[in-house]
Amino acid sequence: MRKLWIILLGAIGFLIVGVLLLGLSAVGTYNGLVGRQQGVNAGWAQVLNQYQRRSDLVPNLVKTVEGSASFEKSTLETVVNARASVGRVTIDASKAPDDAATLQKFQAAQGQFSSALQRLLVVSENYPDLKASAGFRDLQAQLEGTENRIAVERGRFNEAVMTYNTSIRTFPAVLLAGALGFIEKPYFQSDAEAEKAPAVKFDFGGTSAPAK
Amino acid sequence: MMAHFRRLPRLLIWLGCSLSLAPPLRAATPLPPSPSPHFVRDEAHWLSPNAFQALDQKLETFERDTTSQVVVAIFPKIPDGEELFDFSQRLFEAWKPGQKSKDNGALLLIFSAERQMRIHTGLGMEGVLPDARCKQIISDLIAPQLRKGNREAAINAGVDAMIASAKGEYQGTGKTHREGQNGKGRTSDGLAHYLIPAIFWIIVLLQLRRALRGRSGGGFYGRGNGGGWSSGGGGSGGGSSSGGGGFSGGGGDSGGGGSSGKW
Repeated sequence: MRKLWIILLGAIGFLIVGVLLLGLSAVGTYNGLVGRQQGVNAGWAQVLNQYQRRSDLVPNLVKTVEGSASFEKSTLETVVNARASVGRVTIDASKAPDDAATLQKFQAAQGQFSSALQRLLVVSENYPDLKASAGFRDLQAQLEGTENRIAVERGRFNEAVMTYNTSIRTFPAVLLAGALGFIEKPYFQSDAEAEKAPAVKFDFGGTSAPAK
Repeated sequence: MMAHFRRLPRLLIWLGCSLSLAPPLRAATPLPPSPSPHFVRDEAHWLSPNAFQALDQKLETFERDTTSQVVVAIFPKIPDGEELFDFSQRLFEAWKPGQKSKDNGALLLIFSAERQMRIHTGLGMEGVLPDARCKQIISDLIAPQLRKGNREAAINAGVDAMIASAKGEYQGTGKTHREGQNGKGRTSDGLAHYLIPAIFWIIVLLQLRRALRGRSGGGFYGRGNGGGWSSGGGGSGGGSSSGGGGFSGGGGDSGGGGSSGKW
């Protein structure tokens, strides 16, 4: 009889401990998830900053290149157009995108802008007067630097996303994450993959240009 | 019945430890160690002992004057499978030139075989050494000397220009960080990151075990929690765990600023 009581008390104690432990770990888990989500959003803001910085270089670039006589108009126009279409992709700056399609669309537009800029730099090799000008060289250094910064921030963003995605799939967070609205965030893909992605082809036939 | 309970804690210990100790993911080809306490790493043997000493002295004085750290590294080649920019960025993250809150460090990297170089700036140096200025230093000052074969002159010209650009931005203390640091024990954020959750889990589980054995279930909450966190603070017990052996200023961050060039 005594023994039965002991077992019963033990079981109740175990239950109380279990509930307390669960509550404690739920709070800790939730706070951890919030922190990691903030990390992802902060990383996203940094990525956008660097993309913005690249867009901001374009007016100066246009001015400098136009100063050089006989520079191919079409190359410059491609850059300006690509920048404009980047501006048309509306994206929330305060919060990392939740679905892969949004991010992919954004990345595709930025990728097109990247390759337009790259082409301009390649073409500029044929213009010795342009290459020799200090203004153009400075711009080139800034463009290269910005591309590097974009790469760094994208890498950091992906790392933050990986930490976050891993944490919402890990026990015990996996039990709570869905109910509390924590969902997986998409990664930046490598540019090679992104260019293969057919995400932004809205060709409805006729003369409309493909979406940039 | 009891036997079942007793097996449970062991399972939880295993689970808890494996969760809280999962290491952060990071690709890792080993990086060369930082030259700290020196400021120059000359793997390609470009500098004579005298030139090395003079350059090192100059950079040390620069840190005393400004707290900024400029570090020079000359490699025979870019390591296999590495790319100039990524390698520089990883090197910067491992060596951590500059002071923690200021990020005022910069690297001047030379890769002999590829005839390439790069100035890689920390976030706090981007103002005084913007990318365009780095490019100028590379292509107007360093590259022409290198083309003539004047290696020591090239590096000195580059370093002098970097110092001249960066002077005045930060106020020095008259001591290098290392000199100011002597005797102080350093704690490692990295270790604490592992240690606190590990200690927390272990204490929770020990308490759980005791609770199961001694049936002191009610006592657990107060004691276990308090004990867990106060000794969790003991993360300070650890020594330095940074593998790369960075600079003692410990924490120059770089967003990838700077510029690269060839000669």
